[in-house]
Amino acid sequence: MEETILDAFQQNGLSRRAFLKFCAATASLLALPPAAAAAMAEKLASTPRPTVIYLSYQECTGCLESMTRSFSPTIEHLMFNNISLAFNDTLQAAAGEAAEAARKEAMRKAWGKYILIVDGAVPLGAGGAYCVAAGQSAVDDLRHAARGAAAIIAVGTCAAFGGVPYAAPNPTGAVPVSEVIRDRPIINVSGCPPIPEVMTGVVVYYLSFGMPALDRQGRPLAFYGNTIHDRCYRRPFYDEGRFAHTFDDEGARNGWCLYELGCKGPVTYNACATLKWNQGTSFPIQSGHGCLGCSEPDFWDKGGFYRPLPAATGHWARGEVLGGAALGGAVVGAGMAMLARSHQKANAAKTAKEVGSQPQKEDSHEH
Amino acid sequence: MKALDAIPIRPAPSPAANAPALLQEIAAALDALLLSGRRHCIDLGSLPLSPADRDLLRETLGTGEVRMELEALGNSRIEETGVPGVWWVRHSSEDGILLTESLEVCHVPEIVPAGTTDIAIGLQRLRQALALRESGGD
Ligand code: SF4
Ligand code: SF4
Repeated sequence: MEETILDAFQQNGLSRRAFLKFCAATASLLALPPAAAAAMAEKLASTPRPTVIYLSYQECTGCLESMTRSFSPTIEHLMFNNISLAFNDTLQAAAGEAAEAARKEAMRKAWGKYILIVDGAVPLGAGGAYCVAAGQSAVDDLRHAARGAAAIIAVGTCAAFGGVPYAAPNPTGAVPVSEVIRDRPIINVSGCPPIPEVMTGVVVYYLSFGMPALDRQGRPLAFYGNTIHDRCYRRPFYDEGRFAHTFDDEGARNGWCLYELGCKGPVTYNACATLKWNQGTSFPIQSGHGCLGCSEPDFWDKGGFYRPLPAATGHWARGEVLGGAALGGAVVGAGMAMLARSHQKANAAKTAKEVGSQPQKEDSHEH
Repeated sequence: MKALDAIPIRPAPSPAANAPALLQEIAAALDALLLSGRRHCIDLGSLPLSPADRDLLRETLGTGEVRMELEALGNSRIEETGVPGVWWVRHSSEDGILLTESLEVCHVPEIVPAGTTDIAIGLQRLRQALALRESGGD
């Protein structure tokens, strides 16, 4: 009989209680009703231990850094040591040909059943020559690996939406995973990097209940169902129209809303405001800096991190939101951003022509 | 440099808003437990609870007779409240971070009784120890 996840727990000297606790913690993390913890326990106790293949392409390894330095080491540890058998070329000891052989073997054994985690964008420019490992381009490698995958989890904004490599002028013709693979279920776990608990939570959810409900960007609603702004503790100040206008004014010191300083919280779907970062300590807005919108497509090219959003997203017209002093600053900032943007657009158009395969991404969630 | 706490962060003032509804839910769950033996669980982490909400819950439910500590993947505290059948369960990770907090309405939380496989594994270990003694080893 195939080894189940519960077996893997028990072989590591963990009791049924530890297993139940793991399920309770994960169900709570996923915001599932508590009864789901029992269903999850039942399912995971009989589910064969899955193979997870983790492939990295055009990326900075920030996503993997995030995942391995996460707030509950227990859960992440279990995830990768007990629950799944992972291939990851950064974490594993083997290198070179031995690594390639290990990966081929893992894929062959679980062909058709493994979960493929992809981190990084895929460059199509110059025939894929911008990202080559062991003589194979990222795009060919991904196509091959996807054929044997039950599902693909695109981890990080680069894999999900193109991210930084995709930013104008996109010199390598980078595209997200979904532009290369169209015949496999893909779950986008965006963020630059994603919250570690979100990455592991998605894997556990998939194993227990199959595909999660996704938003129109392919992201699991459990984590990306609300904007940062929906759950921001500074929201009462936004509603009262109290804003910080510089990073050291009275408003900043009083912890008022960071909208005027370019906060992208109103158009950014992610769980930072509730799950937070670094052992649940804080998140950017709590540290006095606006949200960069890192979990949204094209966050890099949205005209400047410190430029206020182009329209008020609340119930007033933009004019009422802006104080006089802010207006001056915003106009200068916007002017600069527009210059930068038109420059980028020209470059982007040029690259698009050169590369030919550059997809036009729709703008997301802007209301 | 100014102390960090000189930088004020002002959460909106929040009265007890959700605790009364939770207490009603607990009462209904106790009814169901008596009638049909059905257990119920409320995940406190998934609800916005203000300090005032927590105080109200603590005060109304009170402290009961049983308090258990579980050491599995870090510490867990399982305490019966002053209302028998209502358990306050807190699971923490190995480094002491709270993972989940819930109120369970049941005779005994499911995590408490020893599992069959665990018993079998323990029995095996015990038998090995006994065999070792009999064969004169130590
Ligand atoms: S604009 Fe940003 S800082 Fe202000 S309430 Fe929304 S998310 Fe919070
Ligand atoms: S607060 Fe915004 S920019 Fe920061 S990590 Fe969360 S989504 Fe990304």
